[in-house]
Amino acid sequence: MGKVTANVSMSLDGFIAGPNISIDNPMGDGGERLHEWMFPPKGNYQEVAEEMFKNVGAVIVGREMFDLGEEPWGDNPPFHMPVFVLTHRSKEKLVKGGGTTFTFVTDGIESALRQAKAVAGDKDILVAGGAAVEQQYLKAGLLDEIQIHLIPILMGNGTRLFDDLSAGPIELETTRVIDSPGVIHLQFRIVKEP
Amino acid sequence: MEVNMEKVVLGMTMSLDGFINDRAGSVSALYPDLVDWRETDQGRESIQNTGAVIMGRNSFAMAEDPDWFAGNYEYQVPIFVLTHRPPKKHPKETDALTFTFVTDGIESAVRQAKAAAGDKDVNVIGAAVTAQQCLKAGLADELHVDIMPVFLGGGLRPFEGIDDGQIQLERIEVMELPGGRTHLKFRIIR
Repeated sequence: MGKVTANVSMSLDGFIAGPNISIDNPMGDGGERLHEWMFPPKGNYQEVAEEMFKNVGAVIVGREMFDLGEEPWGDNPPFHMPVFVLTHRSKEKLVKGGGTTFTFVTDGIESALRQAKAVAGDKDILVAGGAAVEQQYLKAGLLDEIQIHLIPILMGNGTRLFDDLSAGPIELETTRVIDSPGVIHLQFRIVKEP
Repeated sequence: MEVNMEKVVLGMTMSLDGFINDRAGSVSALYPDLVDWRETDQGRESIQNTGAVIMGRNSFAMAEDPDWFAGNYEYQVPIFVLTHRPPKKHPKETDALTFTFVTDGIESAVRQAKAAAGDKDVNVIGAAVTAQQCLKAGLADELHVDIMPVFLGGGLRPFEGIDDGQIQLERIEVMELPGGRTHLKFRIIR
């Protein structure tokens, strides 16, 4: 069975987005610096995407991420697999070119995960964002693995990856550390309560 | 080869979500393998390069018995404790490890520590308040962060109140340590 994995870019002081998130400002003030490593000149998105989607069979995203991405993704979105969109506002399933489908899930994170697992088979499920969605899956104990792209900046304010003491502490097992210009990739297995 | 200029190093151990001890004030989740650390290359290097230590009152209070430091603390060097209230009884000292209680602020502590350290580094042990003061005052040359593989969810945040953009970090080194810890070394550029 596949793993449920999340991929998140985080500042050294633990923020995954800046303050004042809005439709025009999806990563918050100063938050775009968290993603600079993925795009030119610092990075190569093709390589990043290949690595991120390796062995992934289904993706879960939040509605904001879908809304922002829908137009730029166009008719052949870069997923090429089923994508489940968490939302309160239902919408009919969209079938796009290249194997991408968008299914809108209105009854919560567990339902989205169940549906994703059903189509992913042996492959992994990737919780791809935004920040709030990743937080929810982490707090609910639904992630098996988390990959943190640590950016050596101090943001001071914004959305924290994890800030719920009642749900913690969460023990992790460090499985991989890759040092790279401008970003340190840390991979962890999440240790589940026996 | 780098010339080893004496530097002020701010060191801290942090959870992955950016806290340096849990809400109860206990750091036990963060230091399960302290004995191992002294045996690592990184631990040995740190101990060898450190000529003086600055710590806040809370770090000093971590040892239940203030006389424990002499002969036991990993850094047997002059120790400068930032505090408004020096303890009534002066803690035990040795020829190498002495205590100075600094009541007139971090700049004074750094000045005195640098003088005592000679050509070795000053190591600022970063409990939250000390770390914040040191960073805000622009006194640290390097930041060493050990990231522990745990999410705590709450506690003290070492970078609280640091203005976004006030400090730039240049990565010097990334090392994996025993216990799943990741050691990050940064140069602080102001």
